[in-house]
Amino acid sequence: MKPAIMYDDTWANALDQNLKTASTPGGWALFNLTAQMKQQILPSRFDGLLAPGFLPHIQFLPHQLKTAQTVMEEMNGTAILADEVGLGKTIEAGLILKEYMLRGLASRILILAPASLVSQWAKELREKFQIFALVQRKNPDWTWNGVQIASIDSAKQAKFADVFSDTLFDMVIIDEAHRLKNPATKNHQFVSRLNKTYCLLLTATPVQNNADELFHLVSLLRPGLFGSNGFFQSQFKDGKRSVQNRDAFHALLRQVMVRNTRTEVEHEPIKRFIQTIRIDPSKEEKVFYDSLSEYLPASITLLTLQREACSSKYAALATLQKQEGFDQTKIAELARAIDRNSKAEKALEIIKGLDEKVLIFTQYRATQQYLELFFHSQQIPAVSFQGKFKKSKKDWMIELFKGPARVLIATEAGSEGLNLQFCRHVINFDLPWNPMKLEQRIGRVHRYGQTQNVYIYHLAYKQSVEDRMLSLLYEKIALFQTAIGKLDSILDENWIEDHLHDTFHTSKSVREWEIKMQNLAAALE
Amino acid sequence: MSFIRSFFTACECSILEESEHSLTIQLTEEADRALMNRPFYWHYKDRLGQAGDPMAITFFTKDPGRPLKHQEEYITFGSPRFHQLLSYAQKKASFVQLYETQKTAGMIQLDPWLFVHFHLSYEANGKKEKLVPLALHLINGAFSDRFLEMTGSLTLSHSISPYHYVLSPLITPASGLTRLKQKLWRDLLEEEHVWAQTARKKQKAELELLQSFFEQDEDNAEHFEREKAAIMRRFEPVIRVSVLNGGLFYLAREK
Repeated sequence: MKPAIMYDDTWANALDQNLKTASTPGGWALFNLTAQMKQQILPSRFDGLLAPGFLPHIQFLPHQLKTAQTVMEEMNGTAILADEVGLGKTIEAGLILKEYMLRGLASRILILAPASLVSQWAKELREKFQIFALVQRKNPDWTWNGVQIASIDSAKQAKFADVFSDTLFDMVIIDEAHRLKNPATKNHQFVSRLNKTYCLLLTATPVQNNADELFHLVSLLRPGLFGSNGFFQSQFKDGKRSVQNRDAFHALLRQVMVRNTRTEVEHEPIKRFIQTIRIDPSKEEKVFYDSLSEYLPASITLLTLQREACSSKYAALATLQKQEGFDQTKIAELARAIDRNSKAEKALEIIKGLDEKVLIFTQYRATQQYLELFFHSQQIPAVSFQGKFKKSKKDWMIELFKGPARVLIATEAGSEGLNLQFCRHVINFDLPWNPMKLEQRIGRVHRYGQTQNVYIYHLAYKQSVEDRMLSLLYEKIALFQTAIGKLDSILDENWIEDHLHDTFHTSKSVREWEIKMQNLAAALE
Repeated sequence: MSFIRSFFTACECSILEESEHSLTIQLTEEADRALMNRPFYWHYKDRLGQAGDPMAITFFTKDPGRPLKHQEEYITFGSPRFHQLLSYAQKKASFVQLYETQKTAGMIQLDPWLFVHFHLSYEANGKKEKLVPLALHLINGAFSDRFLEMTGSLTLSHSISPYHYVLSPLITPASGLTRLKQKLWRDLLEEEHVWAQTARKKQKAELELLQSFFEQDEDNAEHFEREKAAIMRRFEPVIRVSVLNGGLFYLAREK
């Protein structure tokens, strides 16, 4: 059977009018130029990628190109991209999107991402792929005819249901798609109702071993790949979660899912060297730290205060000074007696020993300010970065760090989603109670695009609360040495995070916290 | 690079400066209005009845490795700016009317030709495109598919030169276009469309999968139809034909 032929007669209709008008001098040159250029950019074959040729400023990794090609040629634009964290899923999705746009197969695009990542998506698409997307915020206009990015929560509202049922999207891309694994949720139902031709689901959570979740994800893309629900249950399910007929199951899965792992992708994976530096506090610092328990404000746990003091006296003072008459207390005097910060001096030593950029993390704004001043007094150009900064200021700080500044002092809050691959030294000036936060910190430099080994320095005062945190939390769980893939599954377990939070904030003493943490560690093992 | 130079030369913009990887161009008013996206400026100037001041702009074809200043741009093959220039060129020269100029003495007779670039797009679960140049002699009805080679060495001008005269077409341009279209149709029908057959096969297999998913489930008719429509769109083979550009050419008969 021959394919249908459709003729666009725009040119024919304009012919009469055109014959009456005189042509212009440059016409013949432009006429030929148009044809030559068109010839060069049109997709002359069904297979192969056009997009990389149009984006010469980006070095795509082989696995990213291969993934994009597989999705286009074999999966017909409907796929689950399930690479491990940090291998560039967004890049792959962008590449596929660009390819479909260049080929003229997709123009109306909907990208759904968690609200916190919406701007990041827009930025990546703009800077890497020259795709200019509309970010849908308070009053979304879903009739927009181009690329649009929205959070799934804003899109799924009942009041938009009619608009979506009347709108056809050429391509829908969903980030963090593991949120769609439950068909009873609004999210799942919303996506299932979208009218879409092509669809990409991005997820970092390895779902491949949970049969039901996978079944529901796949059913969003290609219902029937695993047969009907009944067939699936009898053929592939074994018990509550596991899979039977694994080979057949995975063979089917490979038709719709691409998952690259670090070990496959990196021939020489970037290594992470972690150095824990235990520092002797100065005499004054030690006295200050030890007397904290006597001046504990009512609303604060000793644990919190001690950790602040481990960062810098200013962090602790920020809390203590809220009390009336603080200046007259003995502890204020002890604080004034501290004339140096042993940790800052150690950090300075590390920085001076390196001829490279260094990223410093602290949890406290007071410490951040102190460090900035301290480094300036030592003629080391340093800039700060925090969540409260406006976007333009954040961007400018990153530009400074890329350029003249040697050191970036960041608080956690602002650092999510930062890409600082040009830096490979991270100093943790103080330690978060949640090791996953630490992983996120390191993730700023140890990520896709990093070409060299990464060095991490933990600073902790000897025999302080931090010292114990280190031995307990970080060394015992041995989190860093754990393969990233394994970490994925830990990160996904929300209860751990909740538990860590509770453990820390409800414990009255270090001892109590330690016992609770040991229980958690035991549970994890 | 050569594209940018030829583009702006053809648009009668002057080149102020040129180096290996950059080109500074003084835009004409027309080009500024069409390309620079500053309608408020022009609206303002128009209202005041003043002459506007067209911009000069520098295009870098290689990343200069420093932040770009105002009126500087990094242009790459396939970038939005590139596409803008291309679509402007296409619109501006979608139709041309040209006359050959010969240097020899004596009266020269020019024959009318209709020439078009057909743009073909083969779409199914993928897409490929091609341009098909096709010409028709508007007196004797002969087709030529090597019209461009024929005109490559000729001097063509947008107005008729002295001592040249044209023969009126016997076939009107409109019916000439119809003949070109019919010729293209015949050629297309002769092609082996393996890609379309493959796509149909895949489409059929996908539909069967879909049916198996919804077996005996009549509550979800709406969902079924939605998925079915998506599969139809994803795999349905079709060839779309349009005219990229074309024109009326008056050429001397080959000796």
